[in-house]
Amino acid sequence: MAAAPPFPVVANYGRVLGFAYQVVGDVALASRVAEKVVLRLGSVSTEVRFWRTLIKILQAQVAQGMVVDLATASGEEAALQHALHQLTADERMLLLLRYHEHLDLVTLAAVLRRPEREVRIAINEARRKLLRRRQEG
Amino acid sequence: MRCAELGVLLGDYADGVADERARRIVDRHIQLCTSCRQELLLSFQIAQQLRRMPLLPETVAVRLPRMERQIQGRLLARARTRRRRPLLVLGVVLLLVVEVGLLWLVLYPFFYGG
Repeated sequence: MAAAPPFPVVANYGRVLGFAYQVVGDVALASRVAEKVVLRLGSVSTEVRFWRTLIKILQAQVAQGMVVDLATASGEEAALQHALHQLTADERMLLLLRYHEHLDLVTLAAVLRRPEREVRIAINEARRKLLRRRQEG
Repeated sequence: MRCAELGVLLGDYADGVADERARRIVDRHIQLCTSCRQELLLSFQIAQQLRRMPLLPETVAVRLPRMERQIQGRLLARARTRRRRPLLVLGVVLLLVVEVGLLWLVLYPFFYGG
């Protein structure tokens, strides 16, 4: 089995910060999460381990109730971000990983440690929920 | 196939991961069903919007280079501390060895006479 290619952690700090911000809704909280990820992984990791670590830390934050309402976005993203924040943190993470971070289903299943079929169904349900919230306005 | 049964197939189609059989089923269905066709179109649109959506507010995005430098600095500082740690441990061990040696020298006459 081929070794996973190295994934530069510090170079992806912005991605971590942005992703964390969309989940926890606050820049200071997101910064703390991003810092924890970088200090835990060091400068290089693998892609799967990178996302697993980030998700684990975010889930711990969410479990402690450290999520705030996202500050009102402006522009055309406002409605989408508002709808996104009406989903659960896990649903938000799933959709962001699939669409914003372009993780394919195989990688996503490996990151989440779930069968691919379950991940497909979960993405489908999260997307339909987002559509409904978006249409409700 | 009825709309309720289409479920995951429609999602796979929207994501571009549907196999040929699923694509044929969905293609046939959306020719006749406006609501599923609409849902598919909205799914495409929402996926596009999620792909393009900036994750950070602009006020934070402009500070990103400085934040990256700061985190890089912290990582380097931690690496330096970790490199010094084995030397510190070695120093403590040597000190203990020297102290035990001196103690033995002092106490030797009491235990072995002479």
